[in-house]
Amino acid sequence: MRKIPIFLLLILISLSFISIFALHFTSTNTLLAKKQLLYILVGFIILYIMLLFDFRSLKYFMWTIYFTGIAALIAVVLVGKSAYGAQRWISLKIFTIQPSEFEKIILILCLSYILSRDQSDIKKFILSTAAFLPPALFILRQPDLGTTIVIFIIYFALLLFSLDLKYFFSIAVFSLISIPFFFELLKPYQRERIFTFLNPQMDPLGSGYNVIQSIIAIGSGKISGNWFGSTQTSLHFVPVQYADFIFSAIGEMGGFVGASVLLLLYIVLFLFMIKVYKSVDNLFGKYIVVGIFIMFITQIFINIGMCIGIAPVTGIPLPFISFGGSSTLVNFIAIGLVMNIYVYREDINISI
Amino acid sequence: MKKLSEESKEKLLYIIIIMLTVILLSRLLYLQVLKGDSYLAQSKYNSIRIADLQPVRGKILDRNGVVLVENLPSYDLEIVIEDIKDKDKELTFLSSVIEMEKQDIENIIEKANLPVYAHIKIKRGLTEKEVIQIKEHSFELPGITVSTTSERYYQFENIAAPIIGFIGPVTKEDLEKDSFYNLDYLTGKQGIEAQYEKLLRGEKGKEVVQVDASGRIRDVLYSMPSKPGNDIYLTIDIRLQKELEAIIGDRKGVAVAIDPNNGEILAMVSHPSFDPNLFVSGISQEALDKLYAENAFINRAIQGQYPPGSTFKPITLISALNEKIIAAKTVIYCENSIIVGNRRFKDWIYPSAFGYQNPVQAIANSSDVFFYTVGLKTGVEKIAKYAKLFGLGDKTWVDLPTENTGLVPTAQWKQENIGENWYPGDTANLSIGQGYLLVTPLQMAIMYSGIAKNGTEYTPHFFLKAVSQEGSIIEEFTASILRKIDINSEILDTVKNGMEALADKPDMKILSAYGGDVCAKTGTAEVGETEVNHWLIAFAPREEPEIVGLLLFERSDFPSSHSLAPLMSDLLKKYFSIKSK
Repeated sequence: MRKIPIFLLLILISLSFISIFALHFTSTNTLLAKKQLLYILVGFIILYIMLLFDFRSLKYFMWTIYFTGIAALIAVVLVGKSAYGAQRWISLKIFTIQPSEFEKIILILCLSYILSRDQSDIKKFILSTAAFLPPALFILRQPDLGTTIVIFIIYFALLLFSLDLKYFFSIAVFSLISIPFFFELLKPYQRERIFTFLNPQMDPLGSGYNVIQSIIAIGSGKISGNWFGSTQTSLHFVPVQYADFIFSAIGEMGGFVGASVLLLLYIVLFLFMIKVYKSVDNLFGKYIVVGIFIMFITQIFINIGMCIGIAPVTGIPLPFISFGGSSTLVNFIAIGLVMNIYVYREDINISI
Repeated sequence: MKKLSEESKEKLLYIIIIMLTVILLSRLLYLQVLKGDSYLAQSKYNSIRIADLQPVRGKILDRNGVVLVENLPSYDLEIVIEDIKDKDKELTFLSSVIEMEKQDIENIIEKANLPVYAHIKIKRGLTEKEVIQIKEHSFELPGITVSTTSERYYQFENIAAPIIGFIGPVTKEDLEKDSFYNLDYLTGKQGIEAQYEKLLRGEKGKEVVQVDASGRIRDVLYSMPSKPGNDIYLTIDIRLQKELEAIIGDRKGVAVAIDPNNGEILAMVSHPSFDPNLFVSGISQEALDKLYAENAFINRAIQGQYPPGSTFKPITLISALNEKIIAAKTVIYCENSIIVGNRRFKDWIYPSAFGYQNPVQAIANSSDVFFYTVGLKTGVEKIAKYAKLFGLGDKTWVDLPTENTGLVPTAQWKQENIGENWYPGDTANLSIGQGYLLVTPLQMAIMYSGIAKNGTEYTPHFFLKAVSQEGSIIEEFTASILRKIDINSEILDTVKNGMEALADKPDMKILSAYGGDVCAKTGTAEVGETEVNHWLIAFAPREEPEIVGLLLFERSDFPSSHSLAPLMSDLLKKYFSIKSK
């Protein structure tokens, strides 16, 4: 095996440390931090496994991967478990999985594969759109607006990076026109969240409550944070802070300095991804890296944006930090893919 | 168009990172560095507390807009126990002002078990004198406050109380069933107050306040005022209601005045009743027990179940005529009594006898022997069928929460409930409205409005309209037909002829004093060995009837049912004189 970048492992370990630390303070349930530690350990094992094969060999399993993803989404509809008004999980006795999380990485792989093939742009456009739509509709239906937005942006970005610009612009125009219709399709609570985002004071006890409390928490962290006297976090003013609102705990305890450190860790991760993007010759590999880059950056922006009141409330986890098995594993798989592409960056001409 | 160059794609990735960083960091700078102190203060004082703002309950008015029930300001005494300096001294003073034992005050405080700095209500409805005394000494009484709230006031006290009902503290079930209610809320318990609770109560407001660690309000962050409830207009005319209350007087009884053309109840008296204001200011156990003993909380017009006596005879006649057992011209010779089974059934005029009677004379004279004879020929099943056709044994669906159905007995019913066979003697009793038969006064009023309107009965009701505080009509009543009974109008004419002939009798003639013709039927129903209830039901005018009046006296001390005629005459006169004003 070729040399893997050690500093990257250090960054992942730092993020994991922040995650466990924040969970420990936000939740009265100590089991949560222990569980997350277990997920992270499994994540590192996955990271190791991800380095055992050349990413190019994934091309041979592409349809299997794609249809496994679709099957899992169908299973959610048929036997899925509901919570918080949405049906997103499949229960497998000892743990539950969230197929929509895995679908993000599956779509990145499939779209990258389709768009990197030696075909005309129009064919690639049609095929990639056909591959994108079914999982997108399933996830929207769950309903999971957040993940739908994330995979749409991934699809959108990959079109920009791979095809003639006219396809990108036609999708952009089409999306803008269909926004009013799309809005009609949203569940009432989703619409309410968007209104609340536009004016959180409108409903300070309903969906605006979390945002107001989260902003107070983050603001009260000031420059250096209050490690011990964090009232908002320790008194649990931010509901379900351990999941989507975990950044508010980091903002309060770590202050501006702590939040900046977290952002810095992410930036290093992104700079590494750009380095991999530049160094790999293979288009399939390039697109995978772009997809993962966009996935992480969208999630980080929407999640932190939500916590500081500049993005609507959607259930998107903060990569490597929020509590959650499926999302943690997917994050490690994604970063594992990037490392794999880095390690096997030189093309060794395998016939397709 | 063309593709992005490799160079610009790489640039784009950098630009995305820079944008993300700039946007997030600048917002964090703003929140944490610029506004950090303010947010830190907010979190220190956190937290946001929610207070409900209770809406003002809607008024209840009569059909002409006379206010029956309204809200008056009321002063409540409250204590914040944490603010009290010298508990012993203050409570001693307080107990002398508000006439409450010091121990009782302490018990209330102990039982309240509210969070710290909560206001504990000690006494509602302070008198003005008490308020002034407490305010004068407010410096010596830290922690003791007088709060102003509103209190339900029932303008006419006992009058129409069984219809209007009253409000009282919410129950555990109310709290579980309906998120509107809080522990200290009041809700409609009886009558219109209960029936139209949702229209009357309004919508809660919300106030979001920021309180410090000890729970005191620092700042109002958000306030949505409550929306007052709707005013409800009733079909009642308070002038007629008062007249009917006067007619019933101190006796136990019922009076109903209803418009047969739409079911609007213009007045309904059930006596004895109660003063709903007693529930607002608090009622002693003794007074409450007395009211319970008098059945004051029963609305006799819809919950009382009585034998109808002779007022039932039109049903017996209608069933015999419609089933062609007899004809309108049939004449029956009535002895002073008849033998049914091995028992002698006497006419009420016994030892005299009515002799030859046709149906019209039989109704006018209320000859028992005539109806025994006809009823036995017709049979229990058919009589019961027509009784039910006119709505006996079923709810009238009047818009009040509790209504009884009465009972129309049949052979099957007797077998199932008493375990005996139905005997001819039971049929004889049923034919004259005695025996197992039970009716509510309102059922009888509706039955007679059905006769008056040639078979059409309207659902009786009190609700006229609900009007919001801005003056727009929220809900309005529309008359609804309860039943359309398919009976030949000639048959009903025969009944009306009998009723008119009764009203023309010398001792009943006074009924026409209002200036038109009247159809009337009296009834004397035996209850127990020696006591009777007296009925008089009338409608007027005969053609195009406008009013059905009903009087019922429980365990009556009138010499006969005909003695009610002057009272019914008053009812009709008042109705027509009020109408012409």
